[in-house]
Amino acid sequence: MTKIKNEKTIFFVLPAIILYSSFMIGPLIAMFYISTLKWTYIIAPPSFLGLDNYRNMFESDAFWTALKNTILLVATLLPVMIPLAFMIGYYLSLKPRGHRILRILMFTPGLISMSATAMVFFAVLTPPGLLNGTLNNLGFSNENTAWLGSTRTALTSIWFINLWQGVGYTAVLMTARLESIPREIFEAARLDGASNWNRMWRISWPIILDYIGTVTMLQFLWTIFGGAGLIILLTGGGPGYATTTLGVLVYGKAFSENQLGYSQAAGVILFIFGLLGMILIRRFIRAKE
Amino acid sequence: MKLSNRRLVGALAGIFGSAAVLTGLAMPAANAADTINIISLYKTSGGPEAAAMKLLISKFEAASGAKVNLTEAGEGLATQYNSDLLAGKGADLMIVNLFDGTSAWLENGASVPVDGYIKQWGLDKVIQADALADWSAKTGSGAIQGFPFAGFTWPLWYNKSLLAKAGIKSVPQSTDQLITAAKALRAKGIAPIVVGGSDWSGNKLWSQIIESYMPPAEAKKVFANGGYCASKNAMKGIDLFVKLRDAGVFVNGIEGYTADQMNTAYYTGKAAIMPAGSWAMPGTPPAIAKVTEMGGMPVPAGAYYKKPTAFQAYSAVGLFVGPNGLKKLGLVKQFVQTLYSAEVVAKFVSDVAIVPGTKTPLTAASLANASPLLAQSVTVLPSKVSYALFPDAYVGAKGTPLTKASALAYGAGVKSAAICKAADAAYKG
Amino acid sequence: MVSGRKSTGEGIALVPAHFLVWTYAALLGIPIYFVFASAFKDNIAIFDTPLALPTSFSFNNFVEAWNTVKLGRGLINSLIVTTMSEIVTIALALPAAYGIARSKGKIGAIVERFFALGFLIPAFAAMVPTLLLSIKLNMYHTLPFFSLFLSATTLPLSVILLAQFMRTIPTELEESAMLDGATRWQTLRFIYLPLTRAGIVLVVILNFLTYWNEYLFSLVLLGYDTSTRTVQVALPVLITNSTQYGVLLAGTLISLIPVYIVYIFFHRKIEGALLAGSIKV
Repeated sequence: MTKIKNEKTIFFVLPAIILYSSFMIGPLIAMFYISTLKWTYIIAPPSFLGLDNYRNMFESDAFWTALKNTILLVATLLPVMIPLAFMIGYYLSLKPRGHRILRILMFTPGLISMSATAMVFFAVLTPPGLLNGTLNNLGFSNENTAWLGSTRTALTSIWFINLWQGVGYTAVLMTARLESIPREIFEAARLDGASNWNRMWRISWPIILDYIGTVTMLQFLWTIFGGAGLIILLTGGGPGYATTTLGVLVYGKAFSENQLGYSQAAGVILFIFGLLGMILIRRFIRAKE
Repeated sequence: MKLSNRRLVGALAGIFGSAAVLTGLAMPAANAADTINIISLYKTSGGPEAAAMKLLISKFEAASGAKVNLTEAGEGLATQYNSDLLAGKGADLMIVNLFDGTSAWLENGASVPVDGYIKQWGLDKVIQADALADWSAKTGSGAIQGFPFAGFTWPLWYNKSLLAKAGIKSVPQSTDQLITAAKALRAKGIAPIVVGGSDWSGNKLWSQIIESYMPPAEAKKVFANGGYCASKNAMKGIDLFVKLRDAGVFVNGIEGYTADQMNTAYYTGKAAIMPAGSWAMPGTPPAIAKVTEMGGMPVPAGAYYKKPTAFQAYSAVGLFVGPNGLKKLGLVKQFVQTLYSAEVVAKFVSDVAIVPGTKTPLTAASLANASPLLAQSVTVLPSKVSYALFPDAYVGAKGTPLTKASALAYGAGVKSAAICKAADAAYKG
Repeated sequence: MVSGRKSTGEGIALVPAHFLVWTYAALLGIPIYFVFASAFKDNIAIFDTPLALPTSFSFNNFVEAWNTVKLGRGLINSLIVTTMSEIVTIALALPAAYGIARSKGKIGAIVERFFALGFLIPAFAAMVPTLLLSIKLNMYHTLPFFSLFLSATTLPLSVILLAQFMRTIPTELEESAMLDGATRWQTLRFIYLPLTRAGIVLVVILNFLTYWNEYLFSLVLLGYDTSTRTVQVALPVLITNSTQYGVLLAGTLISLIPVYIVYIFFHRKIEGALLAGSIKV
């Protein structure tokens, strides 16, 4: 009789639900509503517009480029980041030499604020910056590439920054979960002759698959929502629309271009996109079980 | 967790909790009759304007007997003021520059027009006509949005000693001369023109070059409404830009540079030319300042402007009056008068290198305290350049998307058609 | 945990892993070093020779950052907000997670779905309505309101993560406790709490980072007034037309110190918690 009956469950979950609903559900509904308004500055009086914001959006290059960039970024980033993070996490859980320092270092991207991260990568990627300096010293061409300023390399640079940010942080999360797997399971496998590689993929991976699913969803959401702030700080979505994602569109339209209505319309699309993505990820994880 | 730990956490929580409640309950300074609330971009410490700001505040407080409640804000000033206003706690006065975020205040009732007060308080004798023109709204009634204060000049800075190293005797006047000079500089490993290709500084230079063939009336229209592709003169300007870019006039990797990097490149003698405003003057190393000659952006043959172009305007920092300030007009008047007093203006000129919006004559004596570069810009420069139309007031809210288009333009190989298309797209939606 | 001696075969197989992981670690260490070194330099040195060691180790930049934007006050405000939010979140998420993990009927699943959906709400959608709410409640620019808001935004993650950890606890423990006459709350407090320590610490750390590093909402809901602004809002005030990057990075470094302290401190707690947990299991 360890399962809680319905009535009792409610007691436990109610406070959390109340706080959450007050601050998040209302705003969600508000987002849909605002997307139908013509509302520029927050102090400007809004007026009803119907679906015009959506129409403008669907007719603009900016939106479709943003959608394309978002899909591109997420679809190529996650399949690389999650397995890498898992492997590093497994490595850390073996407690190799120096693992304490490694753990602290690994978590660094998650520790520093977004503006600090932006400052650092700005210094690295700017034409007279660290990356070009290193490449020059190593004898590569003296091109002084503008990694963030050129349409050819901007989005890729963002991709790498996201990878840098996500792998270490996610790896530490993986380690936390991996370490609560009973050691006997691994010992048994080792005695059976399974190599580390096999133990990693054949044993740990399936055991924590649910957790991996959660972590993947976290990263997915962070990339499409939180990643926007970083892009805004580094490139503003430019040059042109090369690094504009849906999240950047929502931020930018709201705060740089002062078009709240349009911004919330993009927010609605972003919400739908997030929903679809979560469903896909969950399906994918279920299929693996 | 051990029991003692839990107690400790409990105690800490109690302390912080009560502190928080108390802090939350303590309202920010009330709207007492003898306080004036100001939100300001200028700070009282940590910037060149610090001493001048302290002077302004102390003079005002001494003269009026009132206290200044100053909130020093950063780039989010407009956002904060807007939400303060929504909450009924908007500041009385706002010290900030005129850009799309603040110029929207007037039409949305967040700031009040000051035409009436200027007349009433006899300030039309004190403020320069050009400054008032810059501060009048470009849409609607053309009301004056705030009290102008700081102006700027925005010439091209030429490092004469670097030019001499490359065998260039005098500052280029035409675009052909510029291209030749650029080649010579590159041969010596010196970057020609450096500017922040990715941000507002690059956007300004781009606009300046585009304008070469456009009469001001046409430029106003295009900057306000777009239509770059459709305008013959704008397209000629864009073609010129592309030609200069492809001829190597800009430093390599220009599209990734920011204004700060432009300053650093020029200050360290890596680049020979930069378009920078007078705000960059206080920070210039004296050695570089000594060899800098102010000039304009060279123009092509057949351009509308006969001399190299530069910008000068009064839309840098000014004083806005919020609706809440209307309740304290007496204090507002005294603050404005203190702001425009000779002592305060002179301090700002010498420390911040502003071009004052007041009719204060800038004598050699007052300039002697200021940066020598400012002196040059105000005395010698005007005869060497033509002043082009400063785009900001007309571009307005499109500034941010337009900057993305100009950032694109600095990239190698980007064609004119792509540039005008991107610029036009900035005005949509 | 007993780390047995690895056989030579295993040791060698790990070499590429050592190399890759440490390369990545270096890529992580360089930015930290950059922030650290730049805090002692001026603009020209920072841009010209970014990786060089500072020529002098004077604390001028730190003092200037501290005084110019009153970092001390900002740090205190950040601390107050963070602490309040942590307390509220844990106080609400623990029971909720327990309810979900051990729910008999459909309610648990529904509630879990409810919170999972919560992840999807783009944070900035909440901005304007939350601002309006704070004004309505007459709590505009107050720390308690902001803490409640922050708490709400991190509830989904906290609840779901804690539920996952709680599910791994064998039900027999609870069963035997209940047979001995324990109530639900007692089981939660004396059995689940100790055993999910690792999960709790994890949630506390993750939330701490969210609360401490938060910028956008802090800007809108707490503003620039020194009495309420957090350290993240105070720092960018240093950005002007001619920013002193050394000062800015020195200030950033100051804001990073508490983060590292908390992380290192709690990091040990995780290890301790897991050690205790695994011995029992």
